[in-house]
Amino acid sequence: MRESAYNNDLADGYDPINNPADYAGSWLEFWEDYMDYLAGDTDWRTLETDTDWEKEAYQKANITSFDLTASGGNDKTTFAFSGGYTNQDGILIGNSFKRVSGRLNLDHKATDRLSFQANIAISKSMNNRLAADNAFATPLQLVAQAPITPVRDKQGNLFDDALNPSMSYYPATVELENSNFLVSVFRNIVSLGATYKLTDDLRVIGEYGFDLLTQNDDRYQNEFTQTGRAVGGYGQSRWVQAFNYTARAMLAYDKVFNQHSLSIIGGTELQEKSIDVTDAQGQGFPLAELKKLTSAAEPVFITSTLTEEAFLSFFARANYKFKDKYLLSLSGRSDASSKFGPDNKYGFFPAASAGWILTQEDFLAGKNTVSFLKFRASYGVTGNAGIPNYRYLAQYSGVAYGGESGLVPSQIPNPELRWEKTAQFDIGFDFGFFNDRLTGEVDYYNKQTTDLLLNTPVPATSGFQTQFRNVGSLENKGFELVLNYSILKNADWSISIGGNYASNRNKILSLNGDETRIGPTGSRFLNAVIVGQPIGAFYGREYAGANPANGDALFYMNRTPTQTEIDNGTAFIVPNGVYGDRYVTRSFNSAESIVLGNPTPTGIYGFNTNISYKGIELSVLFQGVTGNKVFDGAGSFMSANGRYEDNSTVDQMRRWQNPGDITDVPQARLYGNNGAQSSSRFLYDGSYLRLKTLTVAYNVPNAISSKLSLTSARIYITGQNLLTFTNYKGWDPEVNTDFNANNVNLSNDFYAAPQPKNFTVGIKVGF
Amino acid sequence: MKTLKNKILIVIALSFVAVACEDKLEPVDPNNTGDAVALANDKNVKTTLIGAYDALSAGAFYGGNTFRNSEILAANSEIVFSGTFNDVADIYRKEMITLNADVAALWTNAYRTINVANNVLSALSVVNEADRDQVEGEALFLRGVSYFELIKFFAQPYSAGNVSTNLGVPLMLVADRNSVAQVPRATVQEIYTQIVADLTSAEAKLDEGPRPGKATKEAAAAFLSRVYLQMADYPNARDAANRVITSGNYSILSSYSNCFNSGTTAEDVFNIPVSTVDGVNNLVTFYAPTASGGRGDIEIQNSHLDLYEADDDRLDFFFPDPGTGETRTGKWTNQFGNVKVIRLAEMYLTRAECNQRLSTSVGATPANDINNVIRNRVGLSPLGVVTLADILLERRLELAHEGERLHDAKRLQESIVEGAVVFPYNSDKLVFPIPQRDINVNPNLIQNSGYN
Repeated sequence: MRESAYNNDLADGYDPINNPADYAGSWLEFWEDYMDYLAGDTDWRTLETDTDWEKEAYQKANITSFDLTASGGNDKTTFAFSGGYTNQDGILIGNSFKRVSGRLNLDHKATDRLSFQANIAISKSMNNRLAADNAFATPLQLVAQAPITPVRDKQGNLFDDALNPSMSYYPATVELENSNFLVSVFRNIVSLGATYKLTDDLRVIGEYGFDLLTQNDDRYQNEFTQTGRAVGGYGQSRWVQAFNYTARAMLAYDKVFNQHSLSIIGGTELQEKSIDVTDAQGQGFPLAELKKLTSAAEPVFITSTLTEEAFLSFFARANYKFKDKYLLSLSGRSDASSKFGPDNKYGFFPAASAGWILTQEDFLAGKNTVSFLKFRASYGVTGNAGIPNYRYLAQYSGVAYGGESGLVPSQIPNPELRWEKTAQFDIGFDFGFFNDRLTGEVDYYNKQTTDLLLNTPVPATSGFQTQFRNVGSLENKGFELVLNYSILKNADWSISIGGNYASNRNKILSLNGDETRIGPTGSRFLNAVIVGQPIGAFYGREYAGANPANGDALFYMNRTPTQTEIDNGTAFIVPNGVYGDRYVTRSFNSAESIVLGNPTPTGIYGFNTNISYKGIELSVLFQGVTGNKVFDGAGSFMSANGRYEDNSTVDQMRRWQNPGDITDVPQARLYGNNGAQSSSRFLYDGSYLRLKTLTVAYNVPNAISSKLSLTSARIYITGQNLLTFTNYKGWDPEVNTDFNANNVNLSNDFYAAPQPKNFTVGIKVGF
Repeated sequence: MKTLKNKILIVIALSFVAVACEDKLEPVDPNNTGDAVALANDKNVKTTLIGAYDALSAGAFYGGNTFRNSEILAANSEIVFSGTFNDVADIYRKEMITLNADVAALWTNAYRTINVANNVLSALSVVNEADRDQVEGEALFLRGVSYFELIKFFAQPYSAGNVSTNLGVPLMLVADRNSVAQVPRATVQEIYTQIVADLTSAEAKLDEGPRPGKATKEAAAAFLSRVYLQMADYPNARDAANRVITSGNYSILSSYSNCFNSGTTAEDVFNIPVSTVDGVNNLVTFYAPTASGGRGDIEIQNSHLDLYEADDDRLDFFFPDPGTGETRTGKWTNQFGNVKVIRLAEMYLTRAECNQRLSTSVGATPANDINNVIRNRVGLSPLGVVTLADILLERRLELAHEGERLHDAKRLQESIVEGAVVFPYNSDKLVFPIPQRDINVNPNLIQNSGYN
């Protein structure tokens, strides 16, 4: 960083190191003063402090979990119940999760013809939450703090950026000690059903189920936090009630005659969802101990909203089987959704599938070499209504200005809005060879999505920015292969291995009219929707590296430059073939954007093995992906050669320093943007191979467990995410940052929390 | 058997319920309403007019970012922006990329305000006749002001000439409300003509002030004086400023420091109200130290402080950040203080400048306005001979960090100097790029030079 300041001085025509008269008022002086500030009550000149801020962001996380299940009953009534308790710390400081739950399933036969079912599940969970990835208060943003800054001063008080200042940015350490953010979720899921047999073959079924979710976000940030400090503490209480029910009435017919088996079911279904939110926020608390809004001097934000949606469906399905070897299924459903325009509510979604179990045929029956072989094919259309409510209507929303209420147009209507449809064709085999020692399946699929639902940009001169539209079509195709092989199985030993591989190619086939690209929509992330490319493809400037002559960041032109651009030096070829014979430029705007990569893996694979000897078991599962890239949105901060006061990644050590240096890291310039724009510079290979789980278990022999009045007993230890092989430099390649994720913004990192490595030790007993 | 029949009835009844619920598919959004309601009657059109003010007051627009952008683009080594918002930092460095989100936010919020105003103007016939002029005047004021900000940032300045060929911005009027048409850019002259027409008509129709946070006859005149200054039409600028001063509806406060960090004062000709429940003051967000709820992103440099005379009260108004020790301005330290847009002091400075240029003394002599009004208040002794340079320096100090610097530099054809780099007043780098988001969806938009 001192070098970056000195470079600024040299660029301004001063040399404070070799010419002491230039020191006063120099960037170098400015930065050394700033380091005095960052070092707090310690001395950076003697390297007194070397804080590992990354370590400060993590905590050792414990998980405790108990489960209890029981079942029983008689020939009229059966029941099953279970209860569970989980207490789990997150790997980042301040994060934890607790849950208690219970469940009861009841089946009762009232008469030969009438039966009832009831399932009731109740749970309460409490989550100590963290700020979103893009907030300074999120633990992993601690890595931006300078290593010369101590966590606490010599009196033991935490340093921050304002009240006990020695930092550029507000730290999560202070947030954690001075705030609470508890999310409690109460959930009741109930389903009730009654079946009445009209005849032996014909049943009427009625079902009703609801899911009632009540959530409270209780947040308090006292006067030492960033949010609370200028306003005497800040509190929030947000209540959400989501009620979702489904009512279904069906008629079912089942008949087996000779070697034919037929089952037909048809009915109607109504589903409604409502979400009711009330949010109140207040500030000015007399004491840090009084955390509820009743103590707030001033209410500052109060809102309540209600949104409702409904689906109405009619459906029918028929399954037919002949001799247990020919299978045929036909279905159709008509779904109506409240989310679409008056003439476009209904969608019709038919499907058909056929199967043929070849091993039931005479020519294969009873053969051990081919013990099972089934051929299947299917075609079906499904619908997607996954957009927010009311998007087809013209809307004006309520606002406030100077204490008066107002209305602003907030949405242009789109009565054309309709179902997104996907037609999927599938063909495959399920097989077992050598008496089922080798089993597996092979599948090929081709999905054609039309009327793709996207929130698309419109000219802002309209007064609006986006509109939900059905904009184009998308293709997904691929194949999947699963193989499992039992190597050895006898009384003592069992050894098996398995593997799977899936490939997927997805491609945008068309957009609105002759439009070829939508997005990227901001300057920080690169995802776009481009015809001929996978959805969310990274699109932007291609970074070349540092100019060996002067350390400027260079981008490939990726177009033929004009003669003017060559004459005025905007576009040039770096001598000695450092960047080949391609034109480069230091002007970001002059470089053409190109497609830089795919955010979605094109290959997903895994392999596993299970080995058991007597009661001892070992199972291992590896998973991996290939073909995708990860964009590190935080690269513009932490790998930006002196652009900000952030601590930097180690690759910055190979920055350009002297004429002739050939490197991908440009010259450090304090507060200068020398190649820190979002470009392929921060795009990395996202492939990885990961040891997902490793379990060692011991099943206590019956002879011992029965002495303890147990029917079974198992002791196990499981590790998750223990090893990861990847070229990605960030914390975790299997990432998508929380604050801007959607179906286009894929595979972006931004101080996102990695998946935890964890060990679980468990005991499972049965009575 | 009887109970069984009842149960069957329940099951069958369920299927009827499902069918009967088809009206659930025609939802009414309880949180928002449609065009037919919002513009249906007098009360609702007036409520929509308040919505237009709300659009103006967005943080990205008159909530402060517009004024911040003017100051950091014209930093002139007098301020340093060291914040982490990359798009803002790129504006400060004059290295904007066409995807810059802050640039896009000014564009989208200005057009949003224009669109709400056009919606109001389309429904004047349902407004009570007695209030119709006032409602129309307020909507025209909001539209004129929005186009004025757009033209100042997205086009070459009027002072660069070629106004009938230099490109301005797309012109959207009442007939274009809510339209997603791909409209090309009008010329700089066409946009200025529209702004003058809107503000002149607004001044004629509006009631006199003061009306805190609202458009008034004087607020329209005050903006007209700014518009005419950009056009170097000094007689009209002088007269517009003089009309505000002689209205007698505003007065100069006795203490400079009382002009800031407050609600509406007697000196405010137009401001944006901010309270704990609504509104935002983004000048505080970027200028104020973290201890005052700001980000502490903008540091005042000695080269700026050196411009003041030693006993200038305005110099005492700067203070060291209690955290970092860097120098901050005292103008923006209360996050719930109003965004001061036009103070009466500016009208005196405008009148003095124009009188000086035209050798007139409409309202008062330049010496009187500068010495007795501006300098006297901040504890400075009168100048013997007042020159144009004196008046322009006084204007620069009086209005420092309030959002006028870039526009003054451009109209006065002054260069912005950052370290060793000189940006002439008409440099492409001092003009915002047309947002890439709109270029993508409107092929008729031509990008500003320097951004291709």
